[in-house]
Order: sequence, then structure tokens, then C-alpha cells
Amino acid sequence: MTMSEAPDPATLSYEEARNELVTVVAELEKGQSTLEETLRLWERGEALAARCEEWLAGAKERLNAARQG
Amino acid sequence: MANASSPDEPWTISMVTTELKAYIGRLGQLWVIGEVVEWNERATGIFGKIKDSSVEAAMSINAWNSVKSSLPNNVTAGDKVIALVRVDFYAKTGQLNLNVLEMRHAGLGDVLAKLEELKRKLAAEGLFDASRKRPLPFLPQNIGLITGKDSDAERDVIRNAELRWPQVVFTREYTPVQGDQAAAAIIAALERLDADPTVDVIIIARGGGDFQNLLPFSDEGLVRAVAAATTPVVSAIGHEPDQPLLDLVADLRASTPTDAAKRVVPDVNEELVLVSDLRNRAFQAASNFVRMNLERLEQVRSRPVLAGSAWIIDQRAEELVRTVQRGFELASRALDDARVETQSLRSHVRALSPQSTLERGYAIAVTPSGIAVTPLVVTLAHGTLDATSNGTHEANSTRKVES
Repeated sequence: MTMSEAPDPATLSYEEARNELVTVVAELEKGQSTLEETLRLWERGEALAARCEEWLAGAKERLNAARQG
Repeated sequence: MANASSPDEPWTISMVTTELKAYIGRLGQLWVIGEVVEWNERATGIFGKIKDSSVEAAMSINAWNSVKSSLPNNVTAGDKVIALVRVDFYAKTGQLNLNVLEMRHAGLGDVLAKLEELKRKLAAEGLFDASRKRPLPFLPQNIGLITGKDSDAERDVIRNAELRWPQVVFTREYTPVQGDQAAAAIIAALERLDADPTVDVIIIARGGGDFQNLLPFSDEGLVRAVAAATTPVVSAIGHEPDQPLLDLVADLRASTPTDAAKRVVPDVNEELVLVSDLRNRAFQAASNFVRMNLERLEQVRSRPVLAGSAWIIDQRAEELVRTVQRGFELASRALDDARVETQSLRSHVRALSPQSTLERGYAIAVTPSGIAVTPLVVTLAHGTLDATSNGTHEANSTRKVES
């Protein structure tokens, strides 16, 4: 899975983010990627996990609610 | 059964009432049909009178508040009703009474028939097809809730949803949930919620109710509105057995409001655990990978050649020293050789040079071009020669020769 064109996590729904996180972890656990790829995968995993937690914490909603005033 | 009564052993009144109660108790629950004469709602329940519409027969009737939800709310005198009752015998006053457990308007037969007909028609149009069912969002960001204000249904949905996901967001639309205005109000609420882009699922919830109370949820207009809605609709009407048409057209049928909450809102704590677990595994895998490579790198670096760079210099320096050393040795040896050689050459030269012979008294006859000519006795290897000299040779270099 090439990282470069992977969509920005902020645009992902909860399910998309979580599913991609699962594949990232699987990829990492195979341990066959290059060092650079491994680091990028890990960073991607972090971003995805943060996104999931954002959805779960409903922060996104509070944000919108706040913006709507 | 008390023993038989006789003039000698007459029954007391309480014995009579006890017997009566036993007999009547054996009747158990009955479905009865009759016309309502009186229907008075009191604090503790409803008290009234019911009679046969054709034959002279009447009984008092009552219904406690606990069964209120399974009674039609618009019962008035003159209504023909069908009711599930238990015959109560009130021993104190010896009064008989019909205690209502469930009631519906009689003459529903045609209503049922009409409903069945409607169901067939709508089914034929494909409104109930599974293919039309829209999937629910996994994590709804704004749940539209159409229900009665402060109803049990509302409380059940909200409470259970919040238990599973404290940050859940609801947009509530209160409507009557029974009676003839209900359907229209629900349709209007549904359209408002459907139009709201932030609402990603709509729940229509109502607590239990008798067949007639749930009729609005089989209203054709409502069914068509739900079919037309783009936002997924969840129906949560009544209890398990109830099946208004709304259940068939909705994208998801929940058996009760509580069930609806559970099926619309995932258990977020589980999800949080899952996500943090994935995050840890990612970190673990990445750090293991990095550590492994670091170790390998460390091994390589600890090899002597890489341990320090000094050796590069030292090695070369040694080489240099050795070479210089060697150069020096060679040079000095060469010098020695040269010296030796020179000496041997010199002695060699000396040996060949006439000087020593001259010093032993011999003379060299060399012509002007370097060979001397004078009357000399020239001894050759074989014999001797007489030779004459023309005087001294003004050669500049054989000074030694003259002396």
C-alpha cells in the first residue's frame, strides 16, 4: 500500500480509519518493510489511531457544535 | 370444598363467598365483547359499565392504571369493545366485576383486513424489499429521534445510547405517538430530520401499546415517507410481538426502544480498547524493527575496523615508517656497496694504472698524440727495441712522469 497517496486521515470515517489501522498493523507486524517504510507506516498508524479516538471522543461533534455557536 | 351445607350445618356467609370466589376463579381470563355504558377515569384506574348490545346483560368493569398502556385511549360510552378480562368477585360486597387486562375497539376486524390489504399493496410495490434497506452508519454523529415527549421510549433510547457512548448526540422531534394526528406529525418530523445533513440515522420510537394505539405506525403516508427518506430509519415500536408496517419498511427493525439504542450506537469503550490495542501493536512492531536494526548496526560498528578511525592513520604511518626505514637501509646499503665497489675499482684502477709501474722505474713511450718517442730501450714482452726521444714533451699532464 503506497503511503504517498493515502487519504488524509481527517477525511476518513471512523470505520475507514480503523480498518486501515488494522492493515497498517498487519503490515508492520510482518516486519518486511524497509526502515523508512516502517517509520512511515508507524506514523500513519499513529495518525489513524488519533483519528479514531477523535471520532470516539465525539470531539469532532463538539467542535462543529462550537463552530455553529 | 367445605362439606355440604344442611340446616344443621349451615354455611356462614364467608363460606359462601369463599366458595363463590373459588368457582369464579376457575373461569380464569376471558375475551369478552360488549358495549361500553360508562367509562370513568379515576386516580387509581378506570371504572365503568359494559353491556351486551342486544341482550339485557350488564356488568361493572374496571382497569387498573398498570394496564393503561394496553387500553385504547379514546374509549367513550357506546363504543363496541373486545376485552381480555378476569372475573373478580369482591367478597365484602359480594359484587362481581370484570377486571380488564387488555382492550381494543371491536369492529377492528375490518381495520385488520384493510391493514393486510395495504401491506400486500406496499409489498407488491417493493417498499419492503431487503435491497432497499440502507446500512446504518457504524458511528452515528447525530441521531434523529422521533418519539413522545418525556415518554418511556425516549428515556430508554437516550439512556441506553449514552451508556454505550457518553458523547452521543441526539436531535429530538417530539410528536404524538397515538391517535389520528400522530402519523402526520411523525411524517413532518421525519422529513425535517431527513433534510438535516448532520443527521445520519433516525429512530422512531414508541413504548408498548394496544393494537389500535400502534395503528399510526402502519399509516400508508408514513410508510411511504420512510421509504422515500435518504437517511436510514430505525423503527422501535412497542414490544417484541408488535409489527406495524413501519417495521417492514424501516432500514432496521428494533424490537424495543432499548434494543434500538443498542443497535444504533456501538459500545464505544470496546472500540476505544480496540484502537489503543492496535496503536500499541503498531508502536511495538515499529520499535522492535528499529531496535533489531540498531542492534545489527551496533554489531557491525563494533567490528575493529569501525571501532575507531585511528588505525587508518597508524597503519599507514607504520607503513611509511617501514618504507622510510627500508629506503634508508637500501640507500645505506647502496652506499656501502658503492663504497666497496669504488674501493675495489680504485684498487683495480690502481692495479691497471701505469703509475705503479712507472714508480718501479719503467717508462712509457707515448706519441704526440699521447704516445712518447725518445731513444729509449723499449722492452717488449718478446725482445727489446731501441728508440730515440726528441726531447722533453711539453705535455702539461705528465709532470709526474718527468721527475
